[in-house]
Amino acid sequence: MFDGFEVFDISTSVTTIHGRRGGSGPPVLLLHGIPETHLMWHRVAPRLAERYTVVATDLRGWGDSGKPPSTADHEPYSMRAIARDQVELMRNLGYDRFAVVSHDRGSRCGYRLALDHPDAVTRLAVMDVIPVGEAYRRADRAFSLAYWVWSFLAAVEPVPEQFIGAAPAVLVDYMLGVWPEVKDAFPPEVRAEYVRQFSDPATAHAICEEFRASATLDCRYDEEDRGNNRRIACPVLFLWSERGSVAKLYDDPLAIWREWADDVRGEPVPVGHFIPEEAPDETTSHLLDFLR
Amino acid sequence: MNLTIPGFDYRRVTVADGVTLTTAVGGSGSPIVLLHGFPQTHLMWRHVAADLAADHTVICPDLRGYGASDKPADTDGTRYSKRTMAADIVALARTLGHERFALAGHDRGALVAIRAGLDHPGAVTHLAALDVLPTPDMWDVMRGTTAAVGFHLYLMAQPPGLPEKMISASSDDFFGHFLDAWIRDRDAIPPEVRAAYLAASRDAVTSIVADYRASAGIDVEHDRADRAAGNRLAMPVTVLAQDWGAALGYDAAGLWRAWAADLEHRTVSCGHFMAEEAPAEVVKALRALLAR
Repeated sequence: MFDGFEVFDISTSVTTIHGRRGGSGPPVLLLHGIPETHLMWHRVAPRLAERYTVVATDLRGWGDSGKPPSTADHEPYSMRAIARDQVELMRNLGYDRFAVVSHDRGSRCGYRLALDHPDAVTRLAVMDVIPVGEAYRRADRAFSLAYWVWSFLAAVEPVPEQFIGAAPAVLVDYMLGVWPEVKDAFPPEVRAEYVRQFSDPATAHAICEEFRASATLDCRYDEEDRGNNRRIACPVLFLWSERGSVAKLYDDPLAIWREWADDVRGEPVPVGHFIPEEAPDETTSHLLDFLR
Repeated sequence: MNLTIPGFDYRRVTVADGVTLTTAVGGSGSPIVLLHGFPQTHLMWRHVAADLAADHTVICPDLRGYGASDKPADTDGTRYSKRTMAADIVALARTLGHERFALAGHDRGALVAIRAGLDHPGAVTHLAALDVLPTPDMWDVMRGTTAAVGFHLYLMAQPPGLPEKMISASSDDFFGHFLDAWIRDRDAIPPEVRAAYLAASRDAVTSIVADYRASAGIDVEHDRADRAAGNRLAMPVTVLAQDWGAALGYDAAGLWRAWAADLEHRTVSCGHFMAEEAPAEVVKALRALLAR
């Protein structure tokens, strides 16, 4: 797994970011989603590394990255703050401009990074999400039932933290059991790492704070950008699960992304939510086409 | 540990195939049935019931699935519909000799009471609902980021397995959270009563989840069918509500008016547990209702 990649823990101005780097060529940053860590890229990263310098990180709060204290307004876990880490990290590694490839929560970081740091991002791939402001603006009963994890993890402290602490594997097993179509996409050692992070109270709290920030600050940042018609400047690739929640809730999810960027391409992939793990060949081939 | 309402008799009454409710009965005079909410038992009525018993026959059951009443398995998704739970109450009153009775419910109990009023207009003479919206309205008013206040509704609506597992793993924290978060006067639920609620809920996780799951599905269907058919509550109705509308931006009285022609809607200043926090105010409202 990640043969030939080096492991790093690099300080940013606020925290430390854990990840791996491998390959050579133009830089590509890989950002993970819930309930995962950078390990979710283990099938895709080595193949991208044949042509690119691949950097896969744990987001602030997640995995083995730092978990700075939060504040009453959750700002340290807003995607604006989380994206800033990633820009600093890439700069520390010597990359002022890079492509971003992202899934789920990582895509929320990815598009925020592209909006806030347009000079840094050359290309942006997002998977199986729409912008959080768009999601909440449309959120009705059907949405909130499908995305119950959002209201649950954003619920008042310490309720979700207590839940996770009492049975960390239950939540991880649910997500890895219900959200994919390819059920055996997660090797035991990778699954164990995901459960390990939910078993750590500091990580669990950071994850909850991230969802609280998502329902407040991230939503507001999106609404502000929408009001100012601030758009993603780089080309965007959007892949989504053909039968997942995004496909069920939105008639034309690609059109939603087209409101946020001029150059958007993409298509549904016939697997579940965990596209890079469930369909690594198809994911890699889409990414190689897009990054070229 | 077995707390009771002083001066009340306790009876076991079979109301449906194999389902027996435990009910407190006290006083004499025209009958009124009081239905408790979540995460509680009939004990929540201890102050109100003692007062009303001076001139009424007061019947306080534990709902199916709660407290000392039976908790049948939800084999077909209908065993905890409000229709089924309302039929229990009509059967209970009839067995105790009352074809017609006044009915007051709090929280979940109010949802049962509404359904009883719609399904059994000849049995329910007066109806009081404490601190709920009718189910379809409740789902409609929670939109966007406000869903986090109802995170438990989305969690318990999930298919069997996950919510039961998660809540069982930390049941006292879970149920205790609502007792703490929804109250304004903490002294209104003394430690021994709180302990009784937690113990009762701990033993009822599966049936409580089934009750909530019904409200995300079959109860909404039943309510919408009544709305489509133009069915409304025919008896005098009193609603006591916290000031949620202002916080969440909806007109609670307006929503209620669509369900009840003869409506008295009052906003009270205490927390959710109004029968314990402001029993005199609740008694006064119920006596005013019974005089209509």
